[in-house]
Amino acid sequence: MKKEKASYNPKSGFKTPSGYFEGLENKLLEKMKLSETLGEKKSAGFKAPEGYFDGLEDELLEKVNKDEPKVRKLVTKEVFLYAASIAAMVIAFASTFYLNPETQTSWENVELSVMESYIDNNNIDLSTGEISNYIFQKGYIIDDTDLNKVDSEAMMNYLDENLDEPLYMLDEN
Amino acid sequence: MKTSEDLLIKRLQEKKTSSEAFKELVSLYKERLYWHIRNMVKDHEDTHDVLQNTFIKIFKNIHNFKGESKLFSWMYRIATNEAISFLNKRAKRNQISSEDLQQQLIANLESDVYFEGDEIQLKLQKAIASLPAKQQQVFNMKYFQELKYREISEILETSEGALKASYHHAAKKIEEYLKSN
Repeated sequence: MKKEKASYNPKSGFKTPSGYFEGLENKLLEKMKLSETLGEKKSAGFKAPEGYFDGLEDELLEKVNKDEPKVRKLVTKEVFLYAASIAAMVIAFASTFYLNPETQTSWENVELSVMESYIDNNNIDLSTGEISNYIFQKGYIIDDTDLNKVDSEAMMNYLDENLDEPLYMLDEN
Repeated sequence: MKTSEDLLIKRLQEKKTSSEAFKELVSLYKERLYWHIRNMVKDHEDTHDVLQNTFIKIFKNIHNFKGESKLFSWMYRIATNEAISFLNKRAKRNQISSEDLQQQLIANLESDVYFEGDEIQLKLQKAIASLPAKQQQVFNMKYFQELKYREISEILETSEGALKASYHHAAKKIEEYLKSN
């Protein structure tokens, strides 16, 4: 069938977005098909409990006032060395008195969780902006120069378990 | 000239006025964000948890908002990320794939007191659950929330052309699903 010629006068000043007419037939057909099958009703079928939205403002305000940002403190190299030296002294001291010489340990074997709780208990003051030079693998600390040795699964597990505020990575744009 | 949205953001960012402004913000967006999240996570209690986290994150991060995107799309983006993150954690906790989790959520709808859909609406939910995640989001936003492609484009940071193609594919698959089931 011959296409009807557009009776549009470009002088009117109106225009359409580019590509507007392309595939318009299919889009309309598709819309009609879905409407035919589903009817005009566009509700998903969910409902909220009666009165749920009333007073939500106060409830949420109370929540945000209570909820402190959960920023996990990360260890800088200097602080780590400081903490490590203290831990080493504690271990050396403890081993002198309690440990059998054959089972002596060293600070390299101190688990990160021990360091973290030492720091988390405010024994060392850290700013939240400090970025760690260290990352740990299988519970032990390694230097950032060894990053190529980090197992990617261990890295993902660490981030998943320890990143409380993923939004800090979310860019506004 | 400053718009009412600019003024609201400014009040949210100032400590003295932030509480009142936050209540206004919740009042303006609570229902839209609730239904946006509900379409993704399906269950009311879960939606409530995700909605709370969304508003908490909005409040805590409003000082980082520089107005380079619309407040509306920034908030929707946070809500979308929170809902996705919630679903991923749930799948991981239950040791099932995201696809299996979707099927599980739909199966729960049949006994959900807060789902009042008829047979065709339940079937539609099943059809949506069979789509890839991105197509589900686009379909929900376009079909149920009737957002404009321009708005969805800002929220999902995807070109309008790609969104149109995505919606077209989603609608076609849903149509096929409904006919064959």
